[in-house]
Amino acid sequence: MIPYIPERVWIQEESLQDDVTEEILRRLPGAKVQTVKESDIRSMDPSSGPGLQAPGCSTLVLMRYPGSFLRHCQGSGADMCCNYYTLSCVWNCHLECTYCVLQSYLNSRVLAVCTNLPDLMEEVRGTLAREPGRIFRIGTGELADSLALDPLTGFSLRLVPFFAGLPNGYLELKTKSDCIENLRGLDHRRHTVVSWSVNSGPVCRSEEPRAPTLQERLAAALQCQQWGYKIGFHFDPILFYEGWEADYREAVRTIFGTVDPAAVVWVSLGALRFPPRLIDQVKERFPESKIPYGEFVPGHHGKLRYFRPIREDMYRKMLSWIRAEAPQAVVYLCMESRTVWERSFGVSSALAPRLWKQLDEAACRE
Amino acid sequence: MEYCEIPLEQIDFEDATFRISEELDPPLLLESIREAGLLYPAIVLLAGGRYTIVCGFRRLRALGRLGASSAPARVVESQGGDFPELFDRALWDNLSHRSLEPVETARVLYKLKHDFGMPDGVLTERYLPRLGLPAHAQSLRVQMMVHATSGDVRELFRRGRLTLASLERLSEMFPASRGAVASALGKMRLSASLQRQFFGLLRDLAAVAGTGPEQVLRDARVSAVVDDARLSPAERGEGACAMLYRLRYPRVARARERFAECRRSLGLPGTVRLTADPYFETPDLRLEFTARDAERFRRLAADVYAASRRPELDRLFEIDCI
Repeated sequence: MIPYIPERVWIQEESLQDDVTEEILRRLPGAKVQTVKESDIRSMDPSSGPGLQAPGCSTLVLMRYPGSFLRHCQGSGADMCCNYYTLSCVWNCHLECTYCVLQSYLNSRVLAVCTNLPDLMEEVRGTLAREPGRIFRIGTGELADSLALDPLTGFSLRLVPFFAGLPNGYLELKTKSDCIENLRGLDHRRHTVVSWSVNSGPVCRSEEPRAPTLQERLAAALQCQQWGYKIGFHFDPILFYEGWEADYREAVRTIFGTVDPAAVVWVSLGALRFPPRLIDQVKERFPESKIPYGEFVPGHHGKLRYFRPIREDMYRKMLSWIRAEAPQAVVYLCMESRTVWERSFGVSSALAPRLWKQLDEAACRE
Repeated sequence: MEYCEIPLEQIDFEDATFRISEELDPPLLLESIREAGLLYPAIVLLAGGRYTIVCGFRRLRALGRLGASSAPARVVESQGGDFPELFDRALWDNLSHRSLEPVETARVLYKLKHDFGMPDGVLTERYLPRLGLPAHAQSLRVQMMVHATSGDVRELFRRGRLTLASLERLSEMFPASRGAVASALGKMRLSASLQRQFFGLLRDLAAVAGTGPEQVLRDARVSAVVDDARLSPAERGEGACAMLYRLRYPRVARARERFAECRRSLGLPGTVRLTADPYFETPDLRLEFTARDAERFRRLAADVYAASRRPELDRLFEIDCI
């Protein structure tokens, strides 16, 4: 995997006194560092508006995030909501997969890291304490890769033990990376799921060239499994192309031939979907990619998706292959309509609460 | 400046330094001069014993075609340094009584920039608004592109058959592709939105196949529509776009065709509208009819009931077309 080494570091004045800042700078000796005012930071609020990623995100910004770290997943409110929460402490990603929606979601050409981690933890603690009878599944991989920058930030060293102490909180570290070294020896108490975004071999090579190979990711997953972590996989995005069946079937076999299926708590499936403006961005930034030329139609949530029968067929087949390898893993669809759930999984949306209960139980599994 | 009667043979009609007009021989002008005579004298520049036309290319040509041997004109003399001012005069002469065609607007800006050395800033701030164009650099760039077009493409644009956006798309193509696409466009009539769709589909199909757009147009299924002499240009345009859509989105197109076929087989009257989600993202159907009175309502309801008994109805809810 291509490690992240920023060309310059901008530090918000208020962040200078934070431990996180000191630790990151210690890990970047010789970096060009500049202190900036809060107004400069505000003008590049990483969580707002569309924009283009700069190649490699060469500027790292260390800042105190003033907003709310914890939010309901953007797919919440869908017909089959899995009741997931996202926790944002890093924004943007240097892996630059061709299909990545961060290209159109984030306003800024920088990679931003929050340094006020105590505030984040306080918010999580307070939210979970208000509903002690409820399970919260919380992931840090929505607007960034959960572990790609971990060698620099060391966030897992803080968050994993933190969640280990929360009776009703479960952390998901969703990643494409193999940066798992910090997870060794942590007392996670089975409150952390480490999950990998995976894809077919050809897609990994053509659309995720800066990320570790599928084999490297699985090696990391196997190691985490051996350290006692629960494991998850996310086939997202699933791409439809000539030969997809053989390639994805092979990927499923490879995954469950590498890790112990019993350690896999969940597998999600999501066909490629994206806001319409992303198509032109992909065409401009990655002219060799064939992704923009799929048979996409406007779907719900305003996103372009593969024509529904294509998705349903892919999901039905993926489900059957995964069930054959890991019958106990919860397999679910991400951000899909009721119709697709019913036609590909045979599940009625009336059973939506059962979905998030299943996922909660999987998270709590000892 | 003085008025003179100028022998037409002493006018250099080939010198287009100050020419703005695209069409030099409009029939109506000929008729006007034939009937009413030359109402407004031309302006010519005297240099080296020859006259260069500053304003009035069309008027003087019309006089020549009517057999006149001379024409009244205002004569200006110049050393060359005031050519931009003379061109300005020609521009105002035109703008005072007509709007310029898009190619003429582009010609004006091109000449101001390249022949008369006007800086881009002056062109953008002063001339673009005067010509009814947005005052920014991109607007100026587009006008230079318009002026650079030639041949079939230029002719299509001049005749209003191409939008500016389409012209830009064509100018970005390799010459071989441009020629083939312009040729196809010349056989069709496309609205602005269909032009957008046409270029988008063509670009995507070419990218998928790894070829140029001309190869897409050579596909027998596409050329059969574009070259169908039985169709009007508008029908060819719609047909070509429909065929390109079918090639680009085969499953969606097949689903729509199957839906239309199933709906026809239900035998519903035309006044009953039965529609599906345009992309079948849900299997939902929508049924609508308007009834002015109870009798009509009962009749239409009976037609709907009859349709509901047909087995084809089930197929309407299943559009699996993988």
